Amino acid sequence: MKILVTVKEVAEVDDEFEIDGLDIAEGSLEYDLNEWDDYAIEEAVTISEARDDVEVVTVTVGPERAEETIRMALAKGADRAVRVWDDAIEDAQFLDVDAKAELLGAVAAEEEPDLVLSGVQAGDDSNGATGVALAETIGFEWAAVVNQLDLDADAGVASVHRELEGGIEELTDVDLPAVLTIQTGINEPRYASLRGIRQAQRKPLEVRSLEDLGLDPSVVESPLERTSMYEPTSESDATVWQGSADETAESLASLLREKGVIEG
Amino acid sequence: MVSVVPLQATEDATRKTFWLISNYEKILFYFLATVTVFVFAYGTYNRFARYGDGKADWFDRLDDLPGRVSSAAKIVASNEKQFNRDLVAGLMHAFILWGFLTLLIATTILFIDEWYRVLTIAAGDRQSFWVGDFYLSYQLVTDALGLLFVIGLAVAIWRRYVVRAERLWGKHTNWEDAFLVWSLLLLGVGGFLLEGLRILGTGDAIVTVEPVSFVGTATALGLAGIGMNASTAAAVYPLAWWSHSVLAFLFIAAIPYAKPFHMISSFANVVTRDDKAGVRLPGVPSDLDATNAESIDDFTWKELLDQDACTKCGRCSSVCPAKASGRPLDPRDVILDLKQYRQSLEREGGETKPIVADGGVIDTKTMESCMSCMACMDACPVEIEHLKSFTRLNRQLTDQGDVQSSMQDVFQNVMTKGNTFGDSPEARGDWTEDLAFDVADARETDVEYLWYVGDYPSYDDRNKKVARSLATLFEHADAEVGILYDDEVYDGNDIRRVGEEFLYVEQAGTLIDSFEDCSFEKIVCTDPHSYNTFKNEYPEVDFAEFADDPMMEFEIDGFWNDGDGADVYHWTQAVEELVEDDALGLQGTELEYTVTYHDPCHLGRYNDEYEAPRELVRATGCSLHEMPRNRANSFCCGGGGGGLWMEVDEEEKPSEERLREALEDTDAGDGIEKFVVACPMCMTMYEDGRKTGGFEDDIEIVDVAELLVEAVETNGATPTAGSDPDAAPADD
Ligand code: SF4
Ligand code: SF4
Repeated sequence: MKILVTVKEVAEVDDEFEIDGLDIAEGSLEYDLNEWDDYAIEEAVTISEARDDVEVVTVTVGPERAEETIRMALAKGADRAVRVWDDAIEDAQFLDVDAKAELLGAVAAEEEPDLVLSGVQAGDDSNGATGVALAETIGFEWAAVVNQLDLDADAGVASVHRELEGGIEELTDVDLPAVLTIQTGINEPRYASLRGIRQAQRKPLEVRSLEDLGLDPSVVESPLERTSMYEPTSESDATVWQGSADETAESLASLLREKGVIEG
Repeated sequence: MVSVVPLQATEDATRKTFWLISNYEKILFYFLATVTVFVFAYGTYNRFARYGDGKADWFDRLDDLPGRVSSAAKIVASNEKQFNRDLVAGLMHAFILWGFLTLLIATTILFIDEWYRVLTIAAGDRQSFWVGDFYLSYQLVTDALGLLFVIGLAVAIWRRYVVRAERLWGKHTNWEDAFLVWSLLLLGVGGFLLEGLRILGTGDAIVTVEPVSFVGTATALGLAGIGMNASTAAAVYPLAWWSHSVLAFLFIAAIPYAKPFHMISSFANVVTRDDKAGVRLPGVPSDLDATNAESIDDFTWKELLDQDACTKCGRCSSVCPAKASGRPLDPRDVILDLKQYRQSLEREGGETKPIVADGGVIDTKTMESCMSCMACMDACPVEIEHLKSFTRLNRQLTDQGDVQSSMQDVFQNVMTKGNTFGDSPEARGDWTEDLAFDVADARETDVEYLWYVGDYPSYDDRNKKVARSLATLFEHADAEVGILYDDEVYDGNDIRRVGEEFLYVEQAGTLIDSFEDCSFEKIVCTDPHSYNTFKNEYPEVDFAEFADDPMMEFEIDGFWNDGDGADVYHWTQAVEELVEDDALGLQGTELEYTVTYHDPCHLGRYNDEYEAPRELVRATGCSLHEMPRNRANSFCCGGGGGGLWMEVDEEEKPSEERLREALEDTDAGDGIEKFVVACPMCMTMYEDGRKTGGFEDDIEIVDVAELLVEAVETNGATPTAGSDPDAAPADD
């Protein structure tokens, strides 16, 4: 069986950052493997360790820089990786959910996986929609926000727990092939050691362009447009009172009363 | 008692060996002796052949063999290790060891004389040197040492079975522990019994037969006292002689197969010891496919010998802070679990298991519990290098990716930001901003001391105060000190101990590049952890091995300064020199606090520096009271070996237990006001333990540097800068 894991390299913004035009300045960004995808990889690798006929393939849409992150996934046990990129994608202002679903969908069509695992969301743009949109694109069954997965590969069924609002869990059986979006906490992701990452450099990492995937450059066009980027002025104020516990409690009480938080 | 007995030093004083033993029996005896020697030799050979199959160790442990053997002989003969922390056990072991060696030598002499007689008879002129004065002194010495031997064994048995000394009992305690002490006791007692029977059996007046054999004479008198006559004695003598001989043969034959083997393996272990074990860890091959502890075959011969050298004395476990805190770690059991597993594979063809994993030979949690404090190694009488094996296991865990998420974050921070906090590298020097003077930038000026500030003093609020105090001291003393600002990165000591070796090498290379870009005479460290690794480990890393590695982006190639490294000091050593030169102008009367001092593992046990910090504390006028566990016996704060970042299940934090000790067990009664530390990790752990243990009203944690600054200020000689802007203790 084959498991495809969608992996994203997310940007993390430094505490002190600068805005450059419509984006955050490159110098203020650090890149890392998306936290949710880390759990998705772990889930896939755990499945592959339990059975000996499982191939785990990761797919990433990202520039060459993203290979560092992809290697982490390979170090953790994925068998090979596909990275989708070309000038058209580079030139797009940003990729919306549909565009990503198209790109990933084209890879899925080639790979024909039995199971696609993606993170619930990405830590940077937090759309939380790519996995489900991908299922729609490739016509797979899907389940979102999965926090427990029992796979019966022979019967072709994934029994999942889904995390709903208010601590409620939904138990569902999903027929394969399916896309599952994986929630943090479903497992304990392993560590990719520096040696492991080095070793992963020997694993296949294939770069695919739009043309390779048989896609038209127009897939990356989006009806959405970013019009400006600014840092909202901070609205919170911290007040620190000095003095004895009685005095400071007094001051706090009167402030809360004044703001209408408490009455009387 | 012996001296009042008239020694009859006549030329013919001797006795007949094989008394009452027929020639047929004598042949049987020699046959059994030969078999015994073969069994012994075969077993011993196999044991050593197994070590030979182990992987090569990382350095030559057999260089200068005569020197090694003689220093090992000194350690073993003096029993110095056994006296450590336990006088009774020391005496006990010394008695047994010396008694045993004496009896062994005595038997060997007898053996040689026997053959000497045989050969001289063949040459037609029977001779023997086991006569006259030599014979009499021989009898006296064997009786005296034999008595000590029996007393030692009686004490051992008393402690093991009556007092049931806790450390002697563990999950690996089994028949062989009983076999060793009981068989030796029976051999000792049996020897005297035999002597008594022989003396009694001559039929002469007992005290005149051989008064130098005072124990034998006393035994004979005792036997006569319970009504045995000379003829009965002579009648049972052959039976007693045979039981004694057979037991002796059994014991000798069993040596390579059970605990008595420690007589050989432990000695070999002391011979091949590394005086810097634990302080410096071996590197790993740059070969990406090398494995650490995937199977027992990954262990080096010395690690296998370690396992066989263990006497199960439990000294290591009795001092282990992890065990004391209720963590699932018992250092003795780790060594012996590995041994048991190896033997189960070899002897019984048992199933292979992962060496370290949940449900492996060693549990993941066991390894996470270790604080690399080295107390176990300090306590071990036979020089077992626990931390070397433990590091191997930790490296395996890292290879497997079995790393706690909090620890993964630390690794990730080090990988991406060069510090364990994950804070911006540019903010590394920000702690200096609150000072009223500038701290020189060592990248721009030549300095005497290149001060490696370290992660905690750079980023952690509580420890920034320590850094500022130290900066103030240097400024006050007009020392030429500079720091690396943004070009300083984490020293790597502790991530190396947790097992992330490649990351360690990467940090070390990067940091050495920074060092090499500056001009300085000495490196001085705030943190004993960095001091340790700079001094003992950086010079041993062969960076050339990693020169082609695309992920190792440093320039250093080969060894740092050809393996000489640099002159490295802990700051207390450097400042002690300044105090001696009176650069701080202290009278020694400035402060009046009652304090205790906690030895950081990495400064004390690791690097033998116990006095510099104490001198500094005394130089402030504080009255210093020692905790019972001080200097080499110090009890770890819990912060080493990744303990600072690891989440573990424990009953009590080591730091809480240590603060309790400070408040209850010094000779100052409950008078200790300040708990003085000399390590940023200790500071963090004890500030935490002080809160969680409910000691906030009882004791304050201060660094030696903070005490010194306070003393300098009290003295009126206010430093060139206000020391610390925020006076209240900071929470972090
Ligand atoms: S190093 Fe310290 S914590 Fe680790 S096993 Fe030894 S004594 Fe215990
Ligand atoms: S490792 Fe050393 S201290 Fe520990 S039980 Fe074995 S011999 Fe004793």
